[in-house]
Amino acid sequence: MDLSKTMLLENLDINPEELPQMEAVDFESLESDYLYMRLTAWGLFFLMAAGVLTVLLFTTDVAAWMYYTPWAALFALVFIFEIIGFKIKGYAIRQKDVSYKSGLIWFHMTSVPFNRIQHCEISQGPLGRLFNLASVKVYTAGGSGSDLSISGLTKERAQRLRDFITKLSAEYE
Amino acid sequence: MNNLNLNEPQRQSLVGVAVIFFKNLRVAANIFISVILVQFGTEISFWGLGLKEVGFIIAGLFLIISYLQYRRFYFYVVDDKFIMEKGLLSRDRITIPFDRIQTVNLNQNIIQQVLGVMAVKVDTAGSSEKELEISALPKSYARELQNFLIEKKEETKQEKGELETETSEDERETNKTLDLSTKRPLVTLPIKDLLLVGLTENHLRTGLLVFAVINGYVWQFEEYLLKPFEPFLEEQANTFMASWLILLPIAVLAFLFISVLMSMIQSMLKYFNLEFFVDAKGVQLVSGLLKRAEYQIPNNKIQYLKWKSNPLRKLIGLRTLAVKQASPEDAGGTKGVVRVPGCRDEQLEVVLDTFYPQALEGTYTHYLPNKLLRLQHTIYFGIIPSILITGLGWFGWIFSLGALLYLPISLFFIKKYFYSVSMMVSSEMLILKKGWVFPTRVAMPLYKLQNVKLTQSIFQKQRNLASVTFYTAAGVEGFKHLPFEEAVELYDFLLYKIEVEDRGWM
Repeated sequence: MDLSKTMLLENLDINPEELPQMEAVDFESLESDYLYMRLTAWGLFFLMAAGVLTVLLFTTDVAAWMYYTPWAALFALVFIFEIIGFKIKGYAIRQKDVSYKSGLIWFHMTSVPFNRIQHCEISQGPLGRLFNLASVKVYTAGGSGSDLSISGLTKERAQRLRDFITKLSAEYE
Repeated sequence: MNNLNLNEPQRQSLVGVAVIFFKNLRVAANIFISVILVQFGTEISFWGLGLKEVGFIIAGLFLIISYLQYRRFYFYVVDDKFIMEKGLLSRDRITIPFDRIQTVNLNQNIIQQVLGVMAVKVDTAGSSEKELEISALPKSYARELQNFLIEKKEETKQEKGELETETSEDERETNKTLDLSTKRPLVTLPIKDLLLVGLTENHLRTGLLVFAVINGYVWQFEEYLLKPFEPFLEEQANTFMASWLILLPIAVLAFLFISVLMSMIQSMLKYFNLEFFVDAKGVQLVSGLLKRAEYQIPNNKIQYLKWKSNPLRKLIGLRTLAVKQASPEDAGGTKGVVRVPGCRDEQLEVVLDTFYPQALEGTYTHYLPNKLLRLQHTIYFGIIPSILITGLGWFGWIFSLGALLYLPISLFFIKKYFYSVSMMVSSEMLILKKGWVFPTRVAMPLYKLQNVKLTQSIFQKQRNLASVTFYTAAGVEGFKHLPFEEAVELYDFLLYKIEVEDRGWM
């Protein structure tokens, strides 16, 4: 096999200490507006659910406080988790890849190397338009589970990020 | 290529009418069955027509539809696009740019075999799955079309400058139809092996599948099928209930018998006269009794290899090899996978050696999962089901006994499974092993990876553990509960490997 020549080179063991380390990277935090946007979204959701609950309340004789207390507790819990968890969310761009991390209870971190990016786009929902926030989505050939989505960027920052990622990933084509 | 004349819209061969007709037959039969069922029990007559006449009319209608479908189906080439037109009421025009073509496969079902024609199926890199099949072409024409399309695809790709470097020559070579049929197949299934494969299929799965299908049909026509028997059923219900202890074993036996029979039939149909070819250019699989299918995967499209076994197959030393191919439509799905049942260890070694000669070299780092894996499995698959089964004790003491039996057995299996999970990583390959009852192995070259993900739940955080997920264009694999430092180091290492890699993943 003529591959063996290159193989030998690559078979040199890499010292783990010399690997670029993800842990050492400073992650950029997201716009604080994004936290307010998420809280607004949750608020709307709970408000709607509370509306449904109120309608249901008329059909039973259960005391109102029994009805609303667990709901309010859940609401508060979600808010607390969102606020604490927000600090964990962040993205990082290194020379050769882009990463995103998130999750207080289920932490996850994904890195997509630029040479594996299929395409990159910006998306903005109705709430996002209200807060002037957008997200950058990075697609790979690895299926939907492997795609990376960086939410909570201002529209301008998102555009710059998209252009930057597109430029870097185009170099590999 | 000259006698293809694709500048003019082309029709399929005339026998295509028959092929299309048989394709439509299923729909026709369904209509016919519902007609019968609607009239069940009553005198069968439609506007004075008997059942036979109705049958003839439906058949006639479908024959006309099939003929029209044949008349309205064209394929041709405009510039660098392959175009198919079809549809009776709404005209469908499907345009496939040559460079979007992934693979071109030839298929033959029983009718096509009898009529001596082949179906040409084009897979594209598009995300939406459409029917891109020309159902009836003379064999030689089909092969020529296949070659033509693949050649065109390469040409356009090169024009677009996607393959400019020196490797382009190699890739061009590999992307050509791998006509390996002149070579000796690596794996063949003589009747004896075919029977063994059939006997050792996963009968439970087949059985459940049959059960699900029958169940679906029964409920669909429940009203007509069960209603006439209702009084009888009600009368017998009490007797049935009393004797369910006797009936249960009989039902289990019947289920087993049907399952085995169905697996045998299924594998006969699917794997008859199987021939699996392997060389450095890629793999090719030809198999099937009624429907003879031909699949090929060029080397650069192969993302990774996976092989499995089950308790019965393990006994006779057979494994099923799955060659995973990049398929953008559903990464992680079953599309585009070539499966070869009845591979022996020697043959597997040949396959591995052909595609990943580097697998045997290099030093491997070994990884084992933390005890948390065993603990989680014990809770999910041992303790919780036992509690549920005990809860069923309300229906009869026999269930509580079941829980008593279930718990130790499940604990044994969980222990065996836990000790079967391991992973090895070298600077070229990632090898995963898991499963005791269904041992599974994965061999994945690192440069085929797309990206990596690290996850850590709060349970893992307490124990300082993390899981790593590996994404490829042909599927997702992962390893749970590694010590956090090891997981992070592996994560960094894999990213590094992807980023410094020159070889393309496709």
